[in-house]
Amino acid sequence: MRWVAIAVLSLLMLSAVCASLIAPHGYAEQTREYPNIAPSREFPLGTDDLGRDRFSRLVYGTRVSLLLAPTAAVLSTFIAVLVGGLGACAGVWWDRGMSSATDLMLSIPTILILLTARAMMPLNISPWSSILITCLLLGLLGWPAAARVIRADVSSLLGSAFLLQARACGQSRLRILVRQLLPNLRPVLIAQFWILVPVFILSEANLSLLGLGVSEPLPSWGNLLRELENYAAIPERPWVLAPLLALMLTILCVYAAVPQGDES
Amino acid sequence: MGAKFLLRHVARLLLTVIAAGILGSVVVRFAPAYGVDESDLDPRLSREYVRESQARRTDPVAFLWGLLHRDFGVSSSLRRPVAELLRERLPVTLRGMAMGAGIGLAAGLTLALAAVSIRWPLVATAPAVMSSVFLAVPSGALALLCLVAGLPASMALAALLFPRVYAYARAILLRAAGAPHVLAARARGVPGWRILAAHVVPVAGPQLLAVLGMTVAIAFPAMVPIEAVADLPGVGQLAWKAALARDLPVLVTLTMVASVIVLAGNAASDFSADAARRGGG
Repeated sequence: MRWVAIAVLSLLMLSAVCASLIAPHGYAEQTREYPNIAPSREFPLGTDDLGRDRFSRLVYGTRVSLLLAPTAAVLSTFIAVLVGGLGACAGVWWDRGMSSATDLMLSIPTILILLTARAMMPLNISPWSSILITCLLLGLLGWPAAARVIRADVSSLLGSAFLLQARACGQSRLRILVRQLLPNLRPVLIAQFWILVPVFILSEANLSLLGLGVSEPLPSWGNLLRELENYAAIPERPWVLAPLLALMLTILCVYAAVPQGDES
Repeated sequence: MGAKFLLRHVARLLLTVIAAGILGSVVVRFAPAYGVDESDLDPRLSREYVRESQARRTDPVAFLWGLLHRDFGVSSSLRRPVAELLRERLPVTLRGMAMGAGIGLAAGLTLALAAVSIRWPLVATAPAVMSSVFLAVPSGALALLCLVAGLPASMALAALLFPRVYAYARAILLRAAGAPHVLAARARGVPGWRILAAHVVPVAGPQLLAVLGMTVAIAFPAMVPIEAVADLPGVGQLAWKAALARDLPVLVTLTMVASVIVLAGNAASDFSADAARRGGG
């Protein structure tokens, strides 16, 4: 099952990278004489209200969504290492301050912070800026849960015998950090990264569905879902569900591909 | 012990409100449009109103004071006190939350109990598959799918909560069901329902109460996309409209209210779980 999931994810990544080769049309290319048509050989998923090929937009949207979420996850994991790792290493007061900041961030619902932060920025921005802003917002605000886990892990590592021995041998702090601490933290960092990726894919989808994420004409799975807002037409045009299925497939594959620990 | 516990939670709640209020006022202070004379944009606004709203935003202490004692500030897009907007919209959100969370909790707990007590593979597999599917759909899309199916949008909240409640409750119940005294009871041929009622649920009960806190923490923020896409006139829709209109006073107040609700939910579940644990010895 795991290998099937990895294969599907690889295929999706490949289609994202080779979007320009796979997509029969440009993502913004409009065919005004064919708006809202059913799937055909030329338009495999039909066209939207503006006559844009849904399949091409889905392929390009895969590129945006699959690039944005992992990038934001890397940023969040990096901040979590800084906050959690430094909190555990740099003394009691720093630790207390960092823990309080983490608790505060965890007690405020993320979607409201995202909305507030997004509202502080101009709404009419270029599509590429909207990707950058969405990525930065998710990355800068998604670290608290990961920071708490990393802090706990660093704290337990600091009390371990091999670190005491390294310290007793006179190794410098930097060397201990680079040669002892970080290699032992790698499994936790990888796990946190893979936990954050599906969370950020869903967050981007929700933000874009609300019109506050990636902006048109650039497609992402989130803003492609906006077509579902005309929900009365879904039974007649079920192919508009394709972005939702792609999103679900990706998230299920991420869950299946990442080795799970103890279920409890 | 109980009073100390309660005091600690109240202190944490107050500190969070103060910190969130100061942060909020700083956010408003440094927002790009801050300092723009609103009367230039809308000549109907009086100079006094503009001066007062500017003053309210400048000083974090004044901002906090206004939040706590007056009207939670005035919405810059709707031109109405935020308290009034909250009074109108909070019942809609709470009703939706109660319905969605109630169904999600009931379904999650029932299926978790079934998965622990009935040893058929289908009873464990079907909820696990359902959970995976629900976890992979954004809450806004879940609300739209509910509308397509002719269900109320708050059922999306039930679908969103069900996987979390089910996974958490099942793990707790499985741990309780694996205890030596439960195994001994099973070996003696005590019926399954009796083992569940007399030995598993009472042990897992206090931990299961923590699910309530988790439910509130997930449910309130999830109402934002659900209400926005389903056009429900609740607090979630207000937050979305405020974000589109860049109405920072409303957003800051809503963030604080949401934090208080989430913290109060967590504190209530901690408190009841602690009381149940101590009551059970």
